Amino acid sequence: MAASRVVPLIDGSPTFKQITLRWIDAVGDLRTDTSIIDATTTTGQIESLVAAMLSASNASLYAAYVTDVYLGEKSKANALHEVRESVNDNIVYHAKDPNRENRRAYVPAPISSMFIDDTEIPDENAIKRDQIMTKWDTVWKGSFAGVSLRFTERRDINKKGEL
Amino acid sequence: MAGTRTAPTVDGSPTFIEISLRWIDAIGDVRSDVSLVAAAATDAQIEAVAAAMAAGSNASLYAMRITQVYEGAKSKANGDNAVRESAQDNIVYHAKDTGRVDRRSFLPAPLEAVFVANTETPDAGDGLITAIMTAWDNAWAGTFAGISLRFTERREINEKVNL
Repeated sequence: MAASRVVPLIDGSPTFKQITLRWIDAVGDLRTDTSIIDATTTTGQIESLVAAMLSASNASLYAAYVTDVYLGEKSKANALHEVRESVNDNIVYHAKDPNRENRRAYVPAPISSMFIDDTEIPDENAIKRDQIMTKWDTVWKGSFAGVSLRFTERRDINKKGEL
Repeated sequence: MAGTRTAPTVDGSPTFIEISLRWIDAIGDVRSDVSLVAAAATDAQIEAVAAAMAAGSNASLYAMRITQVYEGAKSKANGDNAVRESAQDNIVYHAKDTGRVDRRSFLPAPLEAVFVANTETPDAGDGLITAIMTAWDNAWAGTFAGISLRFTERREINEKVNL
């Protein structure tokens, strides 16, 4: 048995939307602003908003992010007290394409049936049966192929230094 | 003249898509994971990922964010060297609805044309400004009405403490 899913269906009708605008000015300073917008806002309305903002600024608009947010109840009561209940324990599915591009997916707090009995080794057949790998491969597209499955604790890493 | 837009047109065909899955476990720990997916991934394919992942976890999937990213070249050469060239100087458009909910939008490095001549007062009657306010009002929907326009420097704020 898995925990309750409370996130709404991903069906093109989000709880709300967000728009993020990213700017760079003539001396190289950057800024980013995000605003919640109505769930029914159309692509055309967002484009006209972007165009109106741009036409009044000396800065260069180099990216716009449009986010659909599907939000359900955030409650620990909807999760299960089971072996491997922590969200920091996860099965990591690692895939690569021929250009050595990487993709990883993380199943947090994996249920017991995803492991070979009496081990902490992910059961490839069980995970295939549940189609987790297949579904990720579908959205990654391209020619990604699985490289490994491993059960591990999520690593805390130090702050990244941009180069 | 305004800065150069390098962000592609917001038309439903993004540069790529990011999906974020947000989980809470039975003791209340939370985590979120982000994965880059193909620009052509459909809502149904992303829903299939969510369903497969939720079925394999003891944790509760409570939110998903699906972000369409429209990204172009990020270069200061595309910003204009003009009066008020800094991305940190902005005109803030503040609106409220009848429930006293706030929305703000920020126009960085505003053009000279959007000010009352020889002042630093935004010109509420300027065509560029009215187009911006209308576009935001459409995206916010509901009953938002403008409260103020002000020219200011972006504030640096301290780290927020969540309660």
